[in-house]
Amino acid sequence: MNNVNGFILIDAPASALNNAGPDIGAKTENTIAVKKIRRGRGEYVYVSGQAFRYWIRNSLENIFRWELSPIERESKIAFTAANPFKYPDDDVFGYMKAIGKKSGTTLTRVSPFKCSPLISVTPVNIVNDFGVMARHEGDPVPYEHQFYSTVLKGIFSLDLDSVGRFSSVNKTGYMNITQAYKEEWETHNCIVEEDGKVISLPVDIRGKRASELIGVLPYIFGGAKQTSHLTDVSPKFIVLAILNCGNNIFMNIAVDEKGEAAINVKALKEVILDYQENIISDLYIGKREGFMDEYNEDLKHMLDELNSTLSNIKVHLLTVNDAVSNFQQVVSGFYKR
Amino acid sequence: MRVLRVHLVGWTASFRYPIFVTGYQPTLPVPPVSTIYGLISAAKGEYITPKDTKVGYVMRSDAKGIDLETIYMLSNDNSVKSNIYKREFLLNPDLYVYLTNLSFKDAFKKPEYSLLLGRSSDLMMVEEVKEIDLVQKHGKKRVGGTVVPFGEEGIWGPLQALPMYFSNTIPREAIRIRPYYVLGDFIEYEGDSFWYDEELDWGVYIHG
Repeated sequence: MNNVNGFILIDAPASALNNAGPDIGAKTENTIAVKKIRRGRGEYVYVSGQAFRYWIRNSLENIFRWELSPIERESKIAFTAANPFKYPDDDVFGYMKAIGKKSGTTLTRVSPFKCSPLISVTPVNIVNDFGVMARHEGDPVPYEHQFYSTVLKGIFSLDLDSVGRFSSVNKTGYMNITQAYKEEWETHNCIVEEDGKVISLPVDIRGKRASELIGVLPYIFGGAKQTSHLTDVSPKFIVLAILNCGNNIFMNIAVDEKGEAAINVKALKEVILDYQENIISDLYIGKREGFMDEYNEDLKHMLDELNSTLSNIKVHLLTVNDAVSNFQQVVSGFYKR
Repeated sequence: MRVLRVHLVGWTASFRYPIFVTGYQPTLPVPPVSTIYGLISAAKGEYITPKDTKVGYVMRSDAKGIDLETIYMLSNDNSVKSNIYKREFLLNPDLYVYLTNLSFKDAFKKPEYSLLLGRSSDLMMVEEVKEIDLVQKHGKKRVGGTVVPFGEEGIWGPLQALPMYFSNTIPREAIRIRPYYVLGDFIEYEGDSFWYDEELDWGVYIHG
């Protein structure tokens, strides 16, 4: 199984990216709390995995004009909402479509794209902000909302073998399509494999979908309270590589160093060396100038060391956009092997 | 007893109680045995049951949080309704899995599918794969971070009916459901039903 493994850091100064609804214990009755988790004496804020997926899905629509699968089904068109041939987001984000016993099978597709929640690297001071709505006549309406300043970490994996490849094996997560799609796969010039059990889109479409999913990362936009906080949620630090296994190796790169978010360059170097046989593409590190610049020297140093030791892969240190666009080429190239 | 010990870490995990269907979704403090078999199946890339290997495990986590999620409910008249519910999850799961079948070493060195602990957002990383010896230690030892079948002498804790594993059919069927003590925290235990991991200083209950 070949997977893109990715790690990102998002800088969130004065942000409220994902809210948990009314804060029950608050002084005012209309305080909106940010999503957080308490650990010991510290509070860690997070953006749920579901919200992060939503940002990516919407950004794909805006940036690459993906036609998103409609959520509402119409009775006459039986297969639009779970149609990975027509809708690229059904393909890469998976689906579950429960169909009544009369009309047949329940379709499910394991999402080739998987992502963690975005979690703050360090404990966070959450600010309660006080506001009023006073543009109307009469008493002003006070309200409170919370925000924070932090660095969020996230990881994701994209199963490259599954993108644009649909199975009709009767197993949970693998019953992606049925014979009823035959017309669809014929019009999309699909390749029929394993006696019709597996249907693949042409490699250029698979490459396009996978590389656009990666390519949207520098342009992701989303999150709550953007009108008053306008957080740039595009990654400021990113690590990308293709692995030939399902291990998510970049989970310990960001660390809490005396209350500050830090990049553990040593840990990054160690996982690259430990998994060099599993890493089957060049490794791309992207970093935005001005974000954690104190690690520039360490990263360059690591790069030189790795590139003189490693024979099968090369490590690149670029800007975020260059790292992503170069890696997009690697992903498209993967399908043309 | 020679076993394979796999150490996995992640950022989040959640294990739903089978009895809660809608509304608030609490998480079990530790995974049921079926989740461990699911994890091994993902690593191996094929369906694994207690016939293939016995398992033991110890899982700890740092904290518990509550997420707010949207679910979409499909009904038979082709309409879709969205609903918001609260779901608990665990922070920084730290899991040691013990397998009696040593041949799974390669599967964890190079897992076939992305390793998850709970849901698709609960990604996991293999820290270490190692062959170790579990020993018999008489007298007091600390045990926890796992589930233990009901009736085991000297064990106490909240009870929950859980499956051992799931069938590979549609719909999946829960197999060998029985009551288990859910040991979220560690307790002191004196019996001999647990093996003992000398390095990590805790008892390991082997299922299967």
